[in-house]
Amino acid sequence: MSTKEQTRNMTATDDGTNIDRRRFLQKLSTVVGYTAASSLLAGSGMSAALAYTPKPDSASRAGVTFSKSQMQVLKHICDTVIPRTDTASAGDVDCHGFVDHQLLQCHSKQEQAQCIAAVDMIDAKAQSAHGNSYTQITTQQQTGILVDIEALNGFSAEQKGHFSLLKAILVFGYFTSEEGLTKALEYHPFPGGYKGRVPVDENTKSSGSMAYY
Amino acid sequence: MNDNLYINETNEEFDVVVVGSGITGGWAAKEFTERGYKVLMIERGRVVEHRKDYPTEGKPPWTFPNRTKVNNLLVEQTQKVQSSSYAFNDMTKHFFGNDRDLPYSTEEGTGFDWIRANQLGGKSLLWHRQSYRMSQYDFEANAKDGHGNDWPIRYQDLAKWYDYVEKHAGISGNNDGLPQLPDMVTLPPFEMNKPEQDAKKNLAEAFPDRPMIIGRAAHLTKPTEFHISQGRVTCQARDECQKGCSLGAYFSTQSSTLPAAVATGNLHIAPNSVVHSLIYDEKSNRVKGVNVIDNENFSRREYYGKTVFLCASTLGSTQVLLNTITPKFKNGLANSSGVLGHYLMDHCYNSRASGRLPGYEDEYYSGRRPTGIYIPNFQYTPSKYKKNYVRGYALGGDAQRANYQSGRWTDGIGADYKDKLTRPGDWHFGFYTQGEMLPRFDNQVALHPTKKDKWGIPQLHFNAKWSDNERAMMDDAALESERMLKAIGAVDIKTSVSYDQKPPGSAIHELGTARMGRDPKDSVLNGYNQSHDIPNLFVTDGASFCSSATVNPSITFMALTARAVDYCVNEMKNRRI
Repeated sequence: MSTKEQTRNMTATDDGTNIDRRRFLQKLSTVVGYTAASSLLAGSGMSAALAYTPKPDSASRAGVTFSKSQMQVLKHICDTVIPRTDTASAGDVDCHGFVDHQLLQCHSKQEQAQCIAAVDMIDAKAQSAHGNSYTQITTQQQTGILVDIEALNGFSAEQKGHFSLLKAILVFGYFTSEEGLTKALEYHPFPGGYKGRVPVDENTKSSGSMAYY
Repeated sequence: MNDNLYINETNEEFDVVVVGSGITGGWAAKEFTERGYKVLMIERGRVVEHRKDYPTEGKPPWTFPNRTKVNNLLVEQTQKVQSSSYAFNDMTKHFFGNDRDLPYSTEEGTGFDWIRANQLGGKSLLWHRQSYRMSQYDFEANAKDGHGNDWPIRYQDLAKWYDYVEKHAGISGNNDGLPQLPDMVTLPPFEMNKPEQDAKKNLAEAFPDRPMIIGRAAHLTKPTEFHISQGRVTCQARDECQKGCSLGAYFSTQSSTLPAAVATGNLHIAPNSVVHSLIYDEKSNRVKGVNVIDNENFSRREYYGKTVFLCASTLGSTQVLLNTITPKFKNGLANSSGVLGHYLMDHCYNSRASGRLPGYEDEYYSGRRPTGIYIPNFQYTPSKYKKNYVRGYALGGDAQRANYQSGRWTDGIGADYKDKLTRPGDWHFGFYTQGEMLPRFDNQVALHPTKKDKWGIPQLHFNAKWSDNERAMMDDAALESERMLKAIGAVDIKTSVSYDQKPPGSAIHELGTARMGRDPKDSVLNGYNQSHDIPNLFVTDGASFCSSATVNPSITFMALTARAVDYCVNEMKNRRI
């Protein structure tokens, strides 16, 4: 990771994540020395260049799995499933671009086809029910179609299955994005140990745990 | 530290050649070098240096190409077998082997998941760190119920060596005073969360014979002065373990045994050295060293030692012995008994159960705890066996709140759904089973008659499967887990068994194939892990096991190795080796 990238990451997540980091760095440096400690925490040189990087314009061109028009519909599906609230929407963090990339990289041809079918099905439903593309109908109408799919209201279990896969990938994409993980969830790279009992109040967020246990 | 730790060509005769650098090899090297012996540690893979070579540690998910998922091409073409491991993902894949380089075959109708970690440190970088002593009942089981041969040692033979290795390695846990699970030298235990604390109480009433404890794990919850002097610090519950931990917060060769061995100045390491076979001198009936093929350029070389410790992993060590053919040992070195390769075991993890736990909305936890709860084997002696199978199982598990990882598969659209996923979800309680696998002669590995790997070494051919005993045990474990979850208060309980889907190997607890025993006619090693046939040859890894017991075996590898070194040193001093 370059210094520039590091700086960007530090700035982007400077909200608790780095307080943890700094506090831990102080403790660690008493054992291994400050230079060693800070280089440990910086990680060692894996290039982030290959990582899927959110792009501002994924919906304005064809992807690697979806066509241009499908990408536009998919962006609206993302924004319907995870809309903008006090934190970004799934479309804001380019989950449509992520889904397009992830399907090709990590999923079977069959799963790719199922997700394409889900996007087409949703757009076709918008046309038949509201006489317009999914991208052109109201938010309420958009939500109604997706709710109907899950309720099997005019849709088959197989059709729901295709949508569920698409949704699971986009939700995964959202909560593993920098914005989703650090803002919508609580992300603590240095939790400082495990505490078995922590009280919950109305502001408690789910921690972005990747833990096996 | 000596300047030339890593070596390639040398004609030096070392006091001891240690083959392997994982948990067992690291301990052998540490013990010998600390006693003043010159050791050559041989590693077939690359060098992995502590901290420097943990490239994925601390990287958040969004910096991985596929957000920690592994791409199709890699899985299909190079790591299909490896990807069957629970610990395999895009953050850990560089510590797993490449299937294309590590071929093996299985008998028709059988299967084996052979997980490989061929680098300095071996599987000590990837292990699950659960640490439990085998009990007196485990060492007596074969003798009592007649499966397998009698262990030539008893718990008391190993007790002080457990003490010794635990103190060095650092094991967090509680001493629960249970007959089937001996107390250990421990650091403070990890905490249970509230549902786990309550489950412990409820189970104590409903099933008094099944105590629930916090899992004991090789993590520094409160490092000693000694641990700190090694540069090891308190576990932060980051869940970075299998990427390599620069904090040295869990035991690995790199964090614990290697620094101790290096500090003596008596250690050399030969990396990228694939051991083909041992050099054996028939006249003196001694091994003289090892034949090595270079991992990268396939050139041949030899290393010499007065004593050889095989610590190359259960199947690695057995493969080396099987591939050492001499006029005297036509079926593999040190195999006068004919049992080399036989009695292959793993643990059977093929039953699980989980359910939703209503309530506890105001309870949460913080940090990613590197252990769970544990219910030790409650069928640990024949009088406690079930009617339709022998031996027993332990249960691991935990209580945790759902998050987006399961929530993404649930119904919901829009702001309410988003809000739900960003808050702690329902509590769930789950158990998985760790069943004992019986030692059976039929479960074996042998050299394939024709197929070789790229170093020209004959491939292993596996013929191992679950028996009716393991199947009956898993069916029972699913039922009992369900009963226990009900006692805990869980609802919507789901159970499953998977012995038809998951063959042996997937627990990564390969054991047996060069077993110990009192009688040289039916065992390869004596009670000190020394070859019956060849006095200066030892095998101290899992190959030496006579039974699998139910506990995770690594801490026993450590204790057996430390004990074997102590014995060997005494034998060398008295010129019997």
